[in-house]
Amino acid sequence: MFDLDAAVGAWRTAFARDRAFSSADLDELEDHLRAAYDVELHLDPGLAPARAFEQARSVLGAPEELSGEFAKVAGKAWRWLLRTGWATFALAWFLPVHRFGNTLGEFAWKEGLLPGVEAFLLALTPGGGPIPVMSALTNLAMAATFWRIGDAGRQRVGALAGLLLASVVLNLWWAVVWADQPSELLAGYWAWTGSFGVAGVGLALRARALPDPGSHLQLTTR
Amino acid sequence: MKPTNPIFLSKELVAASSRPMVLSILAGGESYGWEILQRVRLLSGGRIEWSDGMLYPVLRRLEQEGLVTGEWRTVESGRKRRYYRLSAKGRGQLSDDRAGWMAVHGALSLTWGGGDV
Repeated sequence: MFDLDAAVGAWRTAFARDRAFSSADLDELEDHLRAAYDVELHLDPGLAPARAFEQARSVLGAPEELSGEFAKVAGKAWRWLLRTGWATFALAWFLPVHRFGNTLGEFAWKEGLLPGVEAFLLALTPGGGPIPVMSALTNLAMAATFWRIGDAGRQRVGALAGLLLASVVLNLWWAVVWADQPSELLAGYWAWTGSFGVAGVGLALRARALPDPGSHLQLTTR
Repeated sequence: MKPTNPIFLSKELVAASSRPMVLSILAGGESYGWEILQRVRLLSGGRIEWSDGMLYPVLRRLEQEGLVTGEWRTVESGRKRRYYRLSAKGRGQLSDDRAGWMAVHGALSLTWGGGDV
């Protein structure tokens, strides 16, 4: 007895081995495959279901035939933005953050400058208040994007995007504090804050392209 | 619908025509991948046959360029389906594409109409 769901599962597994296909791509291709299968059976009611599935799969194409084109457009924008965010974030840890303050001592690039690493430790110092601690902890949101984000579902990606964009707002608190002396904040601070925005926009784009598991909107099919 | 007489289109011609073709179909209302392909076949009388799976990278690219917008919905069968709609930018692009293709078509028609080919 032909099991359509099992056949679709096997087909999906074969496609999922190729990193060019995102889970959203597979959802869309699966919808196409099932529609083609239904039509094959509709056109020839006497056709064996297994044969109808084989024809639908053949019409859609094999992973190796489609992979190249999908890879060319596979989320270029969001990947580029996320990687740019990561690179800027990493760089910010070693750039001067503030003109006057503690330094990394012998590791400091220049006397009197506060590198990102030490700014992070300083923000976590007891007595600084809740906002500096929360600001320092926003780094965890960025760190969470390092873990298998390409395979994450819309909810996780969307939540992280929101968290990163909220982090931008929170981290701008430092700019408000130093609003009367804006030149005191240096490249490391702006790179660090901006990295959350760039990565957040990248993930927001990614989330938009992923299927919404909570959608209950019903439509009439063709 | 099975094509009755598919004609060979070069990769270059398929690539060049895919954008105006998809945008033109979406100008008639929102649609999704499988339905768009059926429209292409219907409009061409089955003579233009696209590779089914190849439509989706085209839709991705159009979406990345802001020419169409996509939205996931759940249809009656419970399946997720991505619907595409022409954006304002896409409408402008379609107008430009149409002018370009009509110019090419006009020039070629005149040439071929003269019996040079």
